[in-house]
Formats: sequence, C-alpha cells, structure tokens
Amino acid sequence: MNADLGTVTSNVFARWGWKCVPFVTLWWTLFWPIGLVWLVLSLIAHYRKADRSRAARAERRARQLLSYYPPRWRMRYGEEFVETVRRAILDGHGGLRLELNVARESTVAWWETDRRAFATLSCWCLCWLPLVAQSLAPLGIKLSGGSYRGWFLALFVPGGFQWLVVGIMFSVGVVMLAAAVRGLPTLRATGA
Amino acid sequence: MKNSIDVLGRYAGPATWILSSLADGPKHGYALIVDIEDFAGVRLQPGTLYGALTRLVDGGLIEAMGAEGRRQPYRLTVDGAAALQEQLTMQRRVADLGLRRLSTGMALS
Repeated sequence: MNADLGTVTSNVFARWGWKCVPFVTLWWTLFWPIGLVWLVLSLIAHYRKADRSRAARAERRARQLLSYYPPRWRMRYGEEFVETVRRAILDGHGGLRLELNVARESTVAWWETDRRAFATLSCWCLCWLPLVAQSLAPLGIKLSGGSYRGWFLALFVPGGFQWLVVGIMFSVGVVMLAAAVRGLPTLRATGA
Repeated sequence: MKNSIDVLGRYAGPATWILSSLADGPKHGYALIVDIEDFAGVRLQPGTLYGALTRLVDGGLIEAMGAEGRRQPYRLTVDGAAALQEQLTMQRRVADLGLRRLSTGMALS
C-alpha cells in the first residue's frame, strides 16, 4: 500500500506547508469515517512492511529518540547518539528510564540551543490548557448552570471571581496561541 | 577557574566520571557507559551522557577525534586533564577528612 496515510500526509505537507492545515481539518471533519478506515489500513500495512528483527527495532527506537532533540543538536551528535542508544537497547537497557532520560535531556537541549523555538513549541503544546480546559470549558459549565467542578480552577473560587479567573485564563491562552503562531517561522527555520 | 568541572552544575558528577574514563585513552559513547558502570557502579543513561559530553566539548575539556563509522571517540584535552586533577584532588581531600572524622567519631561513641 504505497499511498498510506503517512506518505500522503507528508506529500501534502511538503507541497502546501502549514497552509494545508485548514483543508486537512475540513477533510477530517467531513470524511472522518473514511479517514479512520484508511488510518487503520495504513497502520496494518506499515506494521506488515516493517522489519521486526530485534536489531531493526532497536535502530528505529534509537532514531525515534534522536528525533526529540533540536535539529542543530541532531546534526552534531545524531549518528553517534543513535549508535550509543541502539547498543544500550540491545544490551537490555531500553526501558522507560531511557525514554524519560532522553525526554528530559532533549528538553534541556532545546532550551539551550534555541530558546525561541522552545518557547514556541511550549506555547503550541500548552495553549489549550488555559484557553480551552481552564476558560472555555468552565465557561460552558457556568452558562449551562451545571454543578460539576472537576479540575476547573475557576469553579473553585467564590462567586464573581469565577468570571475573573475565566477571563485571565482566556487571555493567557490567547496570548500563548498568538505567541505560538508568531513563532512559527522561527520554528520552521530550525527545521523542527 | 574557567575550566573547572564545578561550572557544569548537575553534570559535574557525570563529567568527573567521563574525564576519569578518558584518562587512560580515547573512548566512544557506549564504551564510556560500560567503563563508567565498571569502575563507578553507575550506568549513565545516553541522554545524560550526551548532555555532559556536549558541555565538556563546549568547555574545551574533551575533544572529538575522527569518527570511526558511527562511533565518535573523544579524548581528554590538556585543560581537561588539569580540571580532572583539580577535581579529584579536592574529592580526595574531602574523602580523607570525612573518613578521619568518621573514625574519630566512632572511637568517641
């Protein structure tokens, strides 16, 4: 199956860049059942095509862990890092500790090599928290008169302060989203 | 001192092990992990190892040699040897003092 979802997605992205996002979103909204079937078939094809030997799996995992690091770091240490990680995995040290260690150290590497890209990535990953989970969601609950408080901070403060917290969270979310969108060219320039 | 290991912060421990491992000759990443596990009983995770290696290279304490395939050996520089000497001397002083006080304290109790 040559036209699997991954190939099509990367081709579309290579052709249209970030401009394809609205079209892809619209396509998934309208035709999601087809997309879902396609996704499952793509995953099956990908799984059947992949070399499942121990060595190949270790190499793939090492390359996946390398992808956590910023491009400049990958250029400098990429192949030797993959080789070291691959041998660690083959020696039986490829567990969760390795994953967490690389996640932590790659975050430090992002921070140290490109703080602007780090901030942009953080804003992309976290803006939904204040924008949706801590402002729009409690706003919906408040307007619908529900009594559920869950983990929505605004619903734990007294009376009129609830609107204040919702407003502050919404503003923080909007600022983060704006910063994320603004930082996109920087992020693309780093090759992330 | 510009090239002191102490400026490496939380990487100072791994840095000391790496420099000690390189003291008897160049080694690549995985050989460092195995050697350090052998003499220090600590298995460095690859992320921590490369975090420390990056800082040591940037600080001029070690340098990369010609790559051997996908392996990249590193060796100690003159500054690195001096920094290691200073660090180990300081650690020996602390160890000697601690052991002396411990034995005195044990004798008194």
